[in-house]
Amino acid sequence: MAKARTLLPVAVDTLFAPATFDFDLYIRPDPSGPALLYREHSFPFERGDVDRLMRRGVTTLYIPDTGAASYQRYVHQEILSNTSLPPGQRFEALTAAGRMTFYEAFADGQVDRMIAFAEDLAGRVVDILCQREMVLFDLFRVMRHDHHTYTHVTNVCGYCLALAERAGVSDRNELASIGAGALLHDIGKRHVPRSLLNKPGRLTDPEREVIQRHPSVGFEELSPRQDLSWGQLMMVYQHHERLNGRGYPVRLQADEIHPWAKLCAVVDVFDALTCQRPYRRPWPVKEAMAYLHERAGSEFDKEMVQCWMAAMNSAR
Amino acid sequence: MLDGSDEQRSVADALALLPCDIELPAKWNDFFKRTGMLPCMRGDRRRFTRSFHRAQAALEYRQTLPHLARPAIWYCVYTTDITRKSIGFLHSEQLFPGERMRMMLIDGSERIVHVVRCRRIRNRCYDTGARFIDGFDAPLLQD
Repeated sequence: MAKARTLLPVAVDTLFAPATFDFDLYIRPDPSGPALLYREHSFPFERGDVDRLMRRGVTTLYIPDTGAASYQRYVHQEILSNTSLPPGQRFEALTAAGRMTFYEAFADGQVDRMIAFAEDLAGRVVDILCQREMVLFDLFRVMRHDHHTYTHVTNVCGYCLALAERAGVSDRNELASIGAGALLHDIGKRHVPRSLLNKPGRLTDPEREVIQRHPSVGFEELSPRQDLSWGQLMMVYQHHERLNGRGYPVRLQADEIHPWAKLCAVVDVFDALTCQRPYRRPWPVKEAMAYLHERAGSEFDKEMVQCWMAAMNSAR
Repeated sequence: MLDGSDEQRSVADALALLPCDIELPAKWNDFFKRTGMLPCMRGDRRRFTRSFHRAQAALEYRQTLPHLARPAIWYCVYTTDITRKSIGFLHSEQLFPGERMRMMLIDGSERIVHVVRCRRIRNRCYDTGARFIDGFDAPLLQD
């Protein structure tokens, strides 16, 4: 049995059988229970294994974090380079690899690596989305719905790009810049204790204060850099600001908030609501949309919410 | 030679010439009258006691962050409270975490401040917290 904190989730869809991996695979029969060894490294993973897992409804396996680099190499060589695969499958593999990199960079505090990777990943996501073969609902379907920060940021990246396109952004460089900003928007959470981020119970006021510092901490860390734009920095600093001035850290009001931060705020909340959290079950899409709709114009930019609702409705 | 009060008067005269368009909330009409120690707040983790320090001060703008244009200019700000290591002040503009600026206090002393937080109170009134950077020659730009 392995400790849960040493394991990273990987989608079964990204493991193409037959194959032999350099890393052990674990399975979690009970989502809240311990992980058990499923397939030792160097032991062949067969097509029949995938079928059996699918029949049992298992969509996620786990690998030790020491196998992250090997998994990423596999994903890049076998999936991303294979243009005969559907865009949805390549996107899922891309975000899966992204989660790994972010997990490592978050753990090691490698900001340069995170920024370089954010730009690369955002560019690749834009390229897949620009193929127009993947609609928003496919995007939602392939997102992992757990509560890890490194899962959340790749989800928010995909959603931000879908919303930005819907809102009329067509320039590839601008889209890539928005995507990279989205991948970095929670970078300040690296400085929040993991026990606090994953706390199952209600947060105390001092704990909430610590968490609410992450936009300022992230901004201060990135703001001296020349290779990021002001819009990207505002995604980091202002994604928790609300139009009515009740957000944080500054309590800015409507026009004082950068458009990219307004965009990020909508999908950040959407992903937070539709993901599994330690303290609650994921909300159905319909309820998450209703939440945004109720707050459109008061907390969230009305036009952004309308674009997001239109995009989600047309996708279903 | 100027004594302490003369110096304060000359600093105050100089401050009066600086641009100052802070809009204090109406209910803060006793803003400059508060003195003494600040009470401890629940969950307060400050190491040093805070005192009210309600006075004008001068804040020198310079280029602070690569993407943020700051014209080289002095502004008048209102200090709110002070400790050995940090200061709170009101300003008419939003400042950003990590910005470093030079501040001249009402007693004529000059310090480099490093902005830690900024909160909007109302239009043209931002409550800003900064810590002092040791040494007058501390770099204004972060490494």
